[in-house]
Amino acid sequence: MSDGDELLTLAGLHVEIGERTIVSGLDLSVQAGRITALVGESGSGKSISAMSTIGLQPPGARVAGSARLRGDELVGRSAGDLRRIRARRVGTVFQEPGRSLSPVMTVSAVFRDVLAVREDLRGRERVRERTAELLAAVGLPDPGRTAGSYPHELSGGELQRVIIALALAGDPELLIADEPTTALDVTVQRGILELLRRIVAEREVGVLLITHDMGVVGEIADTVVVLKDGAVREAGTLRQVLTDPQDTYTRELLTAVPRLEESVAARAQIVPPEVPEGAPPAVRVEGLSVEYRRRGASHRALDDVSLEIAPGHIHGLVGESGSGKSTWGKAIAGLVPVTAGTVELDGVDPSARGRAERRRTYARLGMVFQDPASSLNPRRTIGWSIAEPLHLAGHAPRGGTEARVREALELVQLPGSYASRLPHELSGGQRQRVSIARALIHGPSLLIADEPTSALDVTIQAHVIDVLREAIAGAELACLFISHDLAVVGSLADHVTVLRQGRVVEQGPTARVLGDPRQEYTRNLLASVPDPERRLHEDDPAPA
Amino acid sequence: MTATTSPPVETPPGREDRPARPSLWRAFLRPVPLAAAGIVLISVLAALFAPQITALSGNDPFSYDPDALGADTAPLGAFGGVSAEHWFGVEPSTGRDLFSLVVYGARVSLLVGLASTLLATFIGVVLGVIAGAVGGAVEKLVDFATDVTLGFPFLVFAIALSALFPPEAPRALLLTLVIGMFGWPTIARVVAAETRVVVSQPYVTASRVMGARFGHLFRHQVLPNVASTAIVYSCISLPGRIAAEATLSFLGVGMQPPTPSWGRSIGDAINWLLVDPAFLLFPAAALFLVTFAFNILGDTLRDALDPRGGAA
Repeated sequence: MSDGDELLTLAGLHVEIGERTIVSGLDLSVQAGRITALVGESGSGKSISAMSTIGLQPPGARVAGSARLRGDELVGRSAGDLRRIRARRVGTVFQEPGRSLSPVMTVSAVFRDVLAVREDLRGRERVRERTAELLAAVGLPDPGRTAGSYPHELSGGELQRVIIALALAGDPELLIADEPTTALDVTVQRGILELLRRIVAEREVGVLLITHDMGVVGEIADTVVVLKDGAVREAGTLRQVLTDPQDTYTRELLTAVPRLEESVAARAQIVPPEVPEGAPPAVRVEGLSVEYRRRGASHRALDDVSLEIAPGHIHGLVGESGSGKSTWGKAIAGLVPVTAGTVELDGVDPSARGRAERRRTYARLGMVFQDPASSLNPRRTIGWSIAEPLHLAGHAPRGGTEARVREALELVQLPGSYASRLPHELSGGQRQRVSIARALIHGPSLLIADEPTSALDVTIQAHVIDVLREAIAGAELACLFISHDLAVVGSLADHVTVLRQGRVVEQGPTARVLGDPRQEYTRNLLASVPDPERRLHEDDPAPA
Repeated sequence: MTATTSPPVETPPGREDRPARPSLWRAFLRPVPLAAAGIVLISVLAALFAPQITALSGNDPFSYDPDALGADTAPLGAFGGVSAEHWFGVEPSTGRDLFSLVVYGARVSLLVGLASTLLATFIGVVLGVIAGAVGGAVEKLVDFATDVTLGFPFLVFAIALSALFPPEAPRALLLTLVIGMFGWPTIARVVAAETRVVVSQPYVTASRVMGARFGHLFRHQVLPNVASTAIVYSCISLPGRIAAEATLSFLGVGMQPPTPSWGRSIGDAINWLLVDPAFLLFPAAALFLVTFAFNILGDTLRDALDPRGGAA
C-alpha cells in the first residue's frame, strides 16, 4: 500500500457549513496509476470532500485538516494558488455530461480556451492538432467531426469522452471523477469505465472516483473508502472491502445491490398466480405504434409492439434511454396519441368509448413515476394526495376516506400520522412509497411504474422494491414495471420485454430472457451490467 | 437482496409528528421590512382616517386660505409657509393646507393602486393559467393579447380615454380600470410559464390519468402552486401602479381638482419649482416612501415564500 507513489493524501479533512459538519475527519490516499473510490449514498459528503480538496467548496464552507498533492498542502492555500494547481495538475469529470459543456460553444472552441490555460498552447494549427490527439486518446473515432460539433449534436457517451479529454489536457497528475457514468446507459457506461482504466494504466494518473454504485466500484477501483454522513465507515483494498466487509453499513450497501443472477434465480422459485380461465388480461397491447411529429419531421418512438399482462403478473419493460419504454407506458395510460394498434384495459378499448366511460376506464390505472421530488403536489398534504383518486372517482364517503388513507399508508409501511405531512417533510424513499399508496388506494387493475426506484439510493431502493412487490402480491393486480436496471427487473418481473429503438428485441418469461437470452442485443445488455465481484472472479486464477 | 433485510432507517427532514414550518412572519421581523410595514401602515391609517387626522391640524383640503399667501400668490414664510397652523405649508396660488392634501392624497393613491392591482392580478392569473394549462390555440390567443397589450402605448391611450370621458364620471374607477386593464400581461406571462411547468409535473399527469377534469386540476394542482408567484408579483407591481396613478394625475388626466392627489400636487409644485422648491418636497416624499415601502415588502414576501430560502 505505502509505496512511494502517494499522489493525493487527505488526513483528517473536515468540512463545515454554518453549524453543520458535512465531513468529519476523512483520511484517504490516491496513488499514481491507481483508482481510489469514495463510495457513499446521497448526502454522505463525498462530492463536497473532493471539491473541498481542490478549493471548490461551496461559499461559506470551512475546510480544515490536510490535503497534500505530491506533498504540497492544498488546504489553506490562496485562491490564486489553488486555481493554478487546478489548471495544471488536476482534471475533473462530472456526472451530467450534457450540462458540463456550454451549449453555445463547439467542442473545438472549448478546447481552444482550455488548452490556452492548461498548456499555454496558442496558434490555430497547434491547438487543432492537440485537440485531435486528445480526442483520439479517449477513443472518439472521428476527432475532426467531434471537434466541430456543438454539445447537443453528440450523444451522452461521446460527450463524457469529450469531458474526459478536456480533463486530460495539460497532463494532470490527478483526475477527480464525480459519478462519471451515473447518467449513462449501461452499455455506454461499460465503455467509459474501460476508458478510465486504460487512461490510468497508460498515463499513470491517479483517479479519485466518486460514486454511489458498488457495481462501478467493483469494475474499476483499486482502493475503496466508504463514507456515510461525512464519516469514514470502512477503508481498504477492493478485495478486502468486497469479500470481507467489516462494517455493517458496508455489508448493507453490498447486499442492497441487486444481483442479476441471484435475483433471476430467486424469482424463478416464485410461481406467478394462476390466471383464471376466460378472464380478459388486465392489459392487452397489439401492434402499437406511436409517432411523434415535430416541425414536419416524424419520429417513430414505438414500432408495432405488442404485450399482454394477466391479472397478478408483473411485466418488466427494459431498454436504454430513447428506446421508447416510457412512451409505451404513456400510450397505455392514454397520455400520448396512438398512431396505430389497439390498447385494451380489462378487455375494453378506451379510445373507442365515450368520454365518461373513457375516463372511468383510465381511472382503473395507477401510476408511479421516477422523480420522488415531483410526484406529489408540494402544496397538498400526503393524505390529500393519497385520497385524490377516491375524490376523483366521486365515490368517497366522508369518514371512509380517512380510514382508507391510513390503510394505504400501512400497506407501504408508513405510519398513519404521515397523512397530515407535506411532501417536503418526507425523504425520497418515503415519497415514492406514498406515490405507490396513491396508485393503489382505489384498487386499480393495472399499475404502471416508470423507473420508480432509479432516483433512490440502493439501500432505499431495495426497500421500496420490497414494498412494491408485497403491495402487488396483496392486491392481485397487474403491473407494468419500466426500468433500465436489468437486475431490478429480474428480481421483480414474471415476464420481460427488451426494447430497443422502439422495437421489441426479445419478449418472454424472465428466467428465459435474462437467464438464457437468444438475441445478441440482450446478451450485450446483460454483459454490460456492472457487477461488484466480476473482477474478483477474473483475478482468482492469478491474483494481481 | 434477502428477505431479512431490515427496512433502512430513513430520517425525514424534521421532527416527529409535525415538524415546525418556518413562519412567514419571521421574515418580516427585521428592521428594514418592519420600517416599510410601518410606513405602509401609516399611509393606510392616513387614508382611512383622513378627515379625523386633518381635523387635528385644524384644516381640511378643500378650503382656500388666501391669508397664507403673499401678493404673488406664493405662500408667506419659509419652506412654503410651514407654520404651526399649516404643518406642511400651503399650496401656492390657492392656499390650501398641504398637510391635508398629502393625507387625503393617500386615499386616492392606495385605492387606485390596490384596486387596479387586484383587477390586473385576477385577469392575469385566470388568463395565464388557462394559457399554460390548455395550450394550443388558446395559448396562442392569450400570447397575442399579451403582446398587443404590452405593445400598446399606455400613456397615449390613457390620456385619450380620459379626454373622452365626461368630467362627471367617477375618475377613481376610470383610473382603476385603465391601469388594471393594462397591468395584467406581465402577471399573465409569469403565471403561464409557471403553469406550464406545473402541468408537466408527474403529480398532475397522475391526476389526469385518474380522470381529473380541468376544474380539479385548476383548483387543486395549479392554483396552489402558482399562488405564491402571483401574490409576489402583484405585490411587486403595486408600487408601479400607485406611481402610474400619480403619473396620470401629474399629466392632468388623472384625478381632477379639487380631489387631492399626490401626482397632481407634484404637478402643481413643478410650476412653482423656481420660486420655492419646498412644495414639491412633501407630496413627492409621500409618494416615494409609500412606493419604496411596498417594494421592500414585496421583495421580503418573495424571499420568504421562496422554498429554497425557507429552510430555517
